[in-house]
Amino acid sequence: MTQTGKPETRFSPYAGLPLPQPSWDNYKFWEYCKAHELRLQKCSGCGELRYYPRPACPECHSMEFEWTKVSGKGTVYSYTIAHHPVLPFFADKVPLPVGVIKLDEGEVYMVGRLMDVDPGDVKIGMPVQVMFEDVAEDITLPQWRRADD
Amino acid sequence: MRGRSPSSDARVWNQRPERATDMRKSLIQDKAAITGIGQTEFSQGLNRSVMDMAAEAIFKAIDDAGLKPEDIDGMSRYHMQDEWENWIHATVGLGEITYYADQPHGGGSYAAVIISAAMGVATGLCNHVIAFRSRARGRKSVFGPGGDQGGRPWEKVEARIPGTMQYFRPFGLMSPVQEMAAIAQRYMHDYGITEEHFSNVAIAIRNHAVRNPLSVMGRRGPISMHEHHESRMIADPIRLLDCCIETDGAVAVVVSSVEAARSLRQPLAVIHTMAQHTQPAHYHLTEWWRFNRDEMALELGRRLFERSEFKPDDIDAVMLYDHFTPMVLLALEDLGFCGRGEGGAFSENGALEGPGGRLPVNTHGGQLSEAFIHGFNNVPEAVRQIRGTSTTQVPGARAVAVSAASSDPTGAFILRGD
Repeated sequence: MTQTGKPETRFSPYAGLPLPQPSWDNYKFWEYCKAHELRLQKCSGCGELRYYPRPACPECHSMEFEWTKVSGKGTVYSYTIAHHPVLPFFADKVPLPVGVIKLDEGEVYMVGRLMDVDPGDVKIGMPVQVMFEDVAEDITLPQWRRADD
Repeated sequence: MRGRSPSSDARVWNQRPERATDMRKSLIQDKAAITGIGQTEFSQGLNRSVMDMAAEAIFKAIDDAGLKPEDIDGMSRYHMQDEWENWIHATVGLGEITYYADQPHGGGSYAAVIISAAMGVATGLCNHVIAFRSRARGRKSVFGPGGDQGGRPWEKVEARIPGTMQYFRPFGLMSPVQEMAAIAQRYMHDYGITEEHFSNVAIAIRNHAVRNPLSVMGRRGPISMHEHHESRMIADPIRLLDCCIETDGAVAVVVSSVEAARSLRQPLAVIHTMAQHTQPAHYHLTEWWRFNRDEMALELGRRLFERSEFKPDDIDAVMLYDHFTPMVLLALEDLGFCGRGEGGAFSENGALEGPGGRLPVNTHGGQLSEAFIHGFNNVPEAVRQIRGTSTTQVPGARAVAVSAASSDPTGAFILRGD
């Protein structure tokens, strides 16, 4: 379920969820997520998209890039259903489907939760669409839902 | 330059030009030997500190070699080991340390720990290297505040996650088993690997543990395929009996030059060939398929064997990083014991079980059933096979391959008798 408010961390339903620590290399990515936009680095040298964010292109070695909005469409390339929660935060969320999503744009893989999907329905190849989950004042996580709903 | 998803550009990777260095022997090949092995008791809770266990294993390894602590002048460690060179030195009273090395990547590092020890003695920078790993990670172990001082580090995760783990920890992949599960799921999909194949690994390695009185799980007896399939699902498709155990314990070995080793008390266990390799890692999961790890990993076995007088078929036993059963099948493929995707079929008919199987794997019980010392307990077992003292001894074993984690930047070496 997409949370659109700006929950206070202490009282938030996301208290106890470890959050990303934005850095010089990736803060733009998290800023765009905050604005509910999925933008990835597109190499100005060879045109390859890359995720996670990094300062150079491993394909052509160019350090020039632009933040390009992508379709947010992809398919489940792999997944797991976590049965052991590890952290208390996940205790009421298991069995928890987590996907490795291959974006339609190419060889770009993102890890995210498969939201509102029955664990038994998850299949490799399943089409998914990005959605944004506001989890803290400064952090919005890109998650995934079925595209054929 | 790089392979892509399986079946697309794998050919490009295989066709890239050979590098000149691949064809010549490494300068340290056959120049170093493992001359002493030592370990503590293994248990799910020893109520001892990491340093306490490290000291015992180190003293035992030095004694096994017939040396004195003052003879040790080199040290090789996992960089995840919190106990630094000078702390160890100040605790166990070694000689002046003239060479030291740390290796990254956790379970991927342990072959490199031995390789860098071999470098120290083969190049003359030192005479005898102590290498070790000590862990208090058992269910009933001493719990300290540090990530590696007891308990599960992923349960001590910080509120804000730096580095590449921020791209999957906040999304619910919290621990290695869940990352391995995503890798294993796609591996099954691509190659028709089944949970029967996973159970072949768990059963064979447990049977080895049953013969090893020092193993933690051996005393519980063998497991059946049915028990494996009925065991609790941890992270689909990985079940409880696909997972390594978490234990307390320490292991140490002494590495010496071959010349020095000839005058020491133990039979020669020579570090024959070695290879290290960078490939995508489970903690760098978005790159696992982008960089086609399946093709990249084959480099490890190719480099290990092309410099060797042995071929994969000549290897008598193999010590693999068995943190999770699917990773053992991948490792068999990476090292060239079978083709890509053939690890499951290779594991059939008791092939992995010693002493009579086609290729006995982890004849001590490995990380699955002996103890989880971050792979380092695989090293003394390789030595025991060469010495002829394993509890699942392969008769006349003369070449044993040892490989670190197939899920990480990794390494491997071949140990051979004289």
